[in-house]
Formats: sequence, C-alpha cells, structure tokens
Amino acid sequence: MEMYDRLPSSSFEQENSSDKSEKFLSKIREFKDKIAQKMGLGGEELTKVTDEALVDAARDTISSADQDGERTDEEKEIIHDAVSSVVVQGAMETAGYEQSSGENPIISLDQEETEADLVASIATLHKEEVALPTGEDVAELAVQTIEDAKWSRMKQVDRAHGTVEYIANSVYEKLGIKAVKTEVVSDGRLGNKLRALHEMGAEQVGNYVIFPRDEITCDRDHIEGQKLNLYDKSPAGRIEVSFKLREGTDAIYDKFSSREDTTKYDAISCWYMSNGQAESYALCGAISFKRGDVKVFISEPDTNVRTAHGLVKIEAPSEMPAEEIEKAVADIMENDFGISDALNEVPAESEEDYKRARYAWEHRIYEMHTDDYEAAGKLESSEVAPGYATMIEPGKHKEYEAKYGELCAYHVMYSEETNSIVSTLTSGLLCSSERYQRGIFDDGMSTPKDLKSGGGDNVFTRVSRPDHARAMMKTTILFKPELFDRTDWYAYDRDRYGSTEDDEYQQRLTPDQLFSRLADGSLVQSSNEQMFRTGIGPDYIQEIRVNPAQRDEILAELRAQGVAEIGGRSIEDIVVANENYVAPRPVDPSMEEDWGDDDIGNLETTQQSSAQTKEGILAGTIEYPGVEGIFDVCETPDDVTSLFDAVAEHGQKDKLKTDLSMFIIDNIDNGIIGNFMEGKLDPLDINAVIMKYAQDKLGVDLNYIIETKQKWNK
Amino acid sequence: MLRKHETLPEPVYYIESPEDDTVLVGIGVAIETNTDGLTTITWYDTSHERAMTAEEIHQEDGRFAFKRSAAEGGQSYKFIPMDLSIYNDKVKHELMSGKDFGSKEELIRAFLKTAR
Repeated sequence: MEMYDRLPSSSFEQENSSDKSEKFLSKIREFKDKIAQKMGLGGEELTKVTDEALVDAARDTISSADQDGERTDEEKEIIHDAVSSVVVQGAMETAGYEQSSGENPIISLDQEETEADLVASIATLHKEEVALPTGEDVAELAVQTIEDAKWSRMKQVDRAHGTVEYIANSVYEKLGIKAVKTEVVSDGRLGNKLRALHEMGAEQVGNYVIFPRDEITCDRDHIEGQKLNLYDKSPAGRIEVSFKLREGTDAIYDKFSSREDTTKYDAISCWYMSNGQAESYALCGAISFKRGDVKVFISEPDTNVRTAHGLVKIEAPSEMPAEEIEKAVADIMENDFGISDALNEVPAESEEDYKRARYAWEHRIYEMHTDDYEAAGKLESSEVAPGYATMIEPGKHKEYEAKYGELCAYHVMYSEETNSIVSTLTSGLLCSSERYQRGIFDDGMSTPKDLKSGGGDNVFTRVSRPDHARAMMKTTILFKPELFDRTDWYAYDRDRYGSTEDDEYQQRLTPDQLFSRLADGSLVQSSNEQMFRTGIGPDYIQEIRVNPAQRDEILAELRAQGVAEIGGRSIEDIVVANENYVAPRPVDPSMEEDWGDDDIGNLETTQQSSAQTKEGILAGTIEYPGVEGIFDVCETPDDVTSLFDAVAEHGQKDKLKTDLSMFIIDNIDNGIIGNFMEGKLDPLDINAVIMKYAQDKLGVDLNYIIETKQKWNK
Repeated sequence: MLRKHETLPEPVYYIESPEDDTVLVGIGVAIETNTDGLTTITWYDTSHERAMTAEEIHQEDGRFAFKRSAAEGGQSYKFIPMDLSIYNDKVKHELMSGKDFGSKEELIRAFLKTAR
C-alpha cells in the first residue's frame, strides 16, 4: 500500500506503563487517520485495514533489515516499534476496545519468519510493564490472544531428537507470565457422565466386580481418538479419567519430571476387587504429581508396554463431587497440559478434521483426493461396543462384498462355560486393557504380553469365507459384515499378536488389501488377524456356533435374563448348534507326572520316514503302529483305508477294531457320531473316514459306542 | 487330502521360541490339517487365540515342536507340558500376578479358568 510508510523510529524513554502504550497508540491512530482519509472507511472495516497495514509495515521492516543478514541498532529499534504497534493494537482488540471485521493482527504476524520478533516484542513489553490506558497488561493480553487462537496447538516437532514443543508453553516459559484468562470453564458434560456412572454403580458378575465406564469426545489435536475415558471405581475408592496423548508423553514427561513436587518412580495401575479388597496391578512406570486431592500420572515415554504409550491417568477420590472432579480435570488440562477447552464440545471444524484423519488412517491414505474427502465427510459416530463409540463408514461392507465376495469375521471362544458364552452374547467382547481397567482380572493368571505388543487394546478376529468359519470345531462367533464399516481396526495377513511395533505396524493391510487377498486365495483363512479397538458389541454377532449339547442351556439362561433378541434377531436364530464341535479333553485329576525339560532335539521333516513307514505297514514288515501312528503317515482317505486293510490282512483285524472303537469313544463327540450316521459329515473328514471303516469293514456298532460314551460320561 | 484335527494330550503347555517372545502358555493346543494340506497350530494363551501355519512338526512321547511356515516367518516353537516346576521357574513371574499352587491339578485348573 502506498498511503502509508514505515512507522517512524523513536527511541525508548523512561515513561510510565500507560505512557509507553500511548506512544504506540498515537502512532496507530496516525495510521488509522490516514487510511480513513484516503479510503473513506469507518468502523470495523477501518480497523481491519489498519491492522493489515500495521502487519505489512512490520513485515516490510523486518525483511528490509534482514536483507544484508545483519541488523543495526537502529534497525532493531525500528523493528521493535513496528512489531510492538501490532501487539498493542491486537491487545486493544482482545480487550474489546477495538472491533475488527478481520483477524487479530497479532495472529496475522504469527508466521514462521516473524515469530521470533513477535515473541521478543512481547517479552520487552512485559519487561517494561507496558499497559493499556485502562491498566491491562499488553503482554498478557497478547499471550491470551495467541492462546485463544489455538496457537498452543501448533508445535515444533524435532523428530531427529524425538522432542515436541508446544509453542504456547515456550512463550509462557520465556515470558514467565500467565495469560489473563485464568478461569477455566467447561460445559458440565464430564461431571454429568461421572454422576451417571456413579448411579449405575459397579456390577458383580461371578467373581468379578466390574466397574462402569463411559467416555466423552473432546479435543482432537492433542488427544488420541478425541476421547477421555471415565471409570467409576468407587469400590476401590477412586474415580479415573484417562486418555492418550497423540504425540506421546515425551514433552510433558520431561516438563514435569524435573519438578520438585513430582513423584519420580510411580506407576499407572489397574485396580480390581479381589475378595472384597481393592488390589492393583502395575501396568507401567510413571511419574505423578498432585493437584489438591487429585493425582495425575504420566506414563514413561519409553515404557515397553505399548498399550501404555502416551497414557495419562487422572485419579480422584471417589467421594469427591463430580463437578469438582470436572473442574480439577479442566484445570489440569489447561494449566498443566496446555490444552484449552479440553472438556468442551468439539467444534464442527475439528470434528471434520478428525473424520478425515480417521479415514486416512483406516485406508492408509497419505494424500487425500476429492473422493476421499467426500467419503470422509460421510463418516458417522456410532457406539460399537457398550460405552465406546468410533467413526463408521455406513454401508462400506456392502462395497467390500460387492468387490470381494462374502466376508466373515470370526472369533473362536475357548471357554465352554455357559455363563461365559451368555455374557459374550449380552455384553460383547472386550479387549484385554479394557477388561483390566474394568476390574476383570482373571486372578492374575493371564500373561501381559499383548499389553506389551500393543495388541492388548483390541479384540482379535480372523477373516474368512463363512463356510470356513462354520467349520471351526470350537464355540465360534461369526460377526455381521457391518463390522467392517468401523474405521478403528487394522489387519495382518498372519498372527503378529496385534503388534504395534513400527516395523510390524508398517506391514498392516488396508481393508481392500486384506479382502483382495482373501478373494485371490492368497490369504490363510485360519491365521490372519484383525484388531478392533476396545471392544465389539453384541449387536455385531451374526451367530454363535456352540456345542449342540449346550445350546438349550444357553438359550434357557438368556431367557432367564430376559433376553429374547440380540441386535433385533431372535436368540434361537443366533445360538446355533455346531455340528463340527469337538469337546476339549477333560482334565485328568491324576496328572502328577512331570515331563521335565528334555530337549526334544532338532526339528526334522517327517516326510521321508512317513513314506517308509507306510510302505512297511503295507508290506507287513513294520509292526502295526496303532491308529494314531497310521494317521501320522497318511495324507488322503485312501491312504488310511489302505493301511487299515493291510493291518487287517496281516492278522491284526481284532486289534484294529478295538483300537478304532476306543479312538471313537475317546476322541469323537456323540454329536459328530450322530451327524455321521445321518450323513451330514464331510466324507473327507478324518472322523468320517474312521467311522465308515469301523462300521462297514470291522462291524463296529456306532449306536453301542454312543451308549458306552454316555455311560462313561465321555 | 484328508482333513485332520488333533488336540495335544495335555491341557496346558509351556511354550518356548528363540525368535518369538510373545509366546508363553498354550491352552487347548490343536493341530489341524485342511484338505489342501495346510497345517495350522492353534492354542489359547490366556488372552487370545494364537494360530500359526506349520511347515514341519515333530511330535513324540507327549513332546511337541513345530517350525512356522517360511511365509509367516519360519520361527520355531517348542511345547512342554506345564507342571509346577516349569511354572515356578519360567512362567509365574511373567504373569500379571502369578500365584502359588500346591498341585499340578490346581495349576492347570487356574489356567483353564482364564479361557474366554
């Protein structure tokens, strides 16, 4: 612009605070008058144009002085005056004495090339205690302006040294000042949720006391998943609010670990009830500090428990009123973590940002295009497990199935207990870390290895075609394909234990890559894995395939609990008899033999010896090795029956009949025998081959076998 | 190809692998060979099901070992029936809060209770 020049230089004078600001204000008025005269503007528009002129003048002054790479004392003074004029004008607007239709000029000057001079100007104004005519400190108003404009969310990331610095924190540190706005206001959501959790109370389920949980969506820029997790652990005397910092705890850990009021060697613990007593398990090392009665734990940045990376826990006594807990948490977030308005509703713009980030993560997109932005905009928040919500792409599973065919995620259960199966049907599946947070502790006999690998934050499934999942021989849950609409899961083509180690995590498959490999047959259906964050709700269950002998008991228990439907479908349609079910071996009470720790030697392929053994049995030169010995060397049904024939021919028919009868009694469930007799068993199934040979060639009476098993309770 | 399914005789095993530190305990260990000849070893580890395709297996007198398929990494795994000695030496300190047991039966039942 031509109608104004650079601000004239002036030397500093020893004046009082207000006088010093008056010096800058008079210069600003000079600018404003000129612009008003030349452009005929007034009101907010005039202020906006004046702001722009002041900012341009400051930038020009800086770039001009830096042309030769060296600033003279006079140039430094001129720069200070120019930048300080911008700061004073911005302070006036923040204090409400000026109204602009544009951006606050302090924020406009907040660019990489001018930031250092801006901070230096604020520091000098603070040191000189420059105040507005009405008494407000200019430097404090300036920092408040920066904070209000979310300058605190900008950060410098020095990846080479693994450091993250929040700029507003550096401003506070350099200036040693606090922003004028110190009152932290939150909207009551957290307090309301805590009250609701308290009313819900803990639930006694078998031996477990399960703590209630909820969450609030919140600040996205700092907090992973935009979530604060809330737990009412009143039986253990505490209320917990926990979250994970997106950039890890490095910066905040360093900030607090040097303070005298910090406890250096503490731990983040999972609390649970055992025989009426509160017990704890130390999840990871941490530092901690107190704010009144509230304790804040920050996990060690280099903890080997990957599920604890970035973890922060705020713990309040359970008798503390909910609104006081909310205020304490808000104060801690604002004043200790530098996260403003952390507990308030997420603005629409932030939510849209989050959706894009979520979509890009799920599909591993590094550069979004128009289609991607459009798709991301359609994400919706949905509760996918009790108390846990995430973004879903409604209907995305239909696209996947149209491209790749029928899809099924399945999960094999190892518990045969009716209570466990019923609990899964009514509450869904929870990941390990959530189970421990909720107080479900399994008497401590679980290994924490999934917490270390990072898989412990997820429920594991495998993906296959439905018929593969239905062929499983244990209690098996098949999930609806809608499960794949979620945007909080990742996948591997093999069992990696859900690892989030960088090297492994880089090899995760996108949904399209996973399903494409299923379609082309290159994915092993029995050993791939998908990790769904936190939990899978019962409404996602398509069917659960159970021991046929147990189905009625499960249905009766569900009805006794008043459950007739799950996800809108009748329980009779969901709880299905699994005709392939094989009961686990019973525990033998006389198991006292110790095997020791003998080295079993080197692994070697058995292919060559298998062929020799087979030949020997056929020729009668190798002694009959028993039924299982025959199975070990056979690959096809014809192999098996040929060797059986050979054994019979070489004088061992009676022995073979006895062995096959005992094998059937010990290893084949009555349900499977029944299915075989009704012609429902796959003829290639080893059980079918055995029973057919035993019945047809050796005269074994399968009905008598069934009666015998029932008599022996097998 | 025959579909085979076999459950190892012991309900709980201690698992060692020089290349994989995620393994420790195996409950309900099963060997399944599908009609394509692919052999998969599955077990429950107190938290999750594990499943690995095997290229080589070695089974003798209750002891079991397998080599994972090259496509999955080729790691070796050895399964030793769990007993009190192995539990006290190698397993207890690795658990969330391993307890003391007076008999192998109590120990085994405690592990089986972790099943979900």
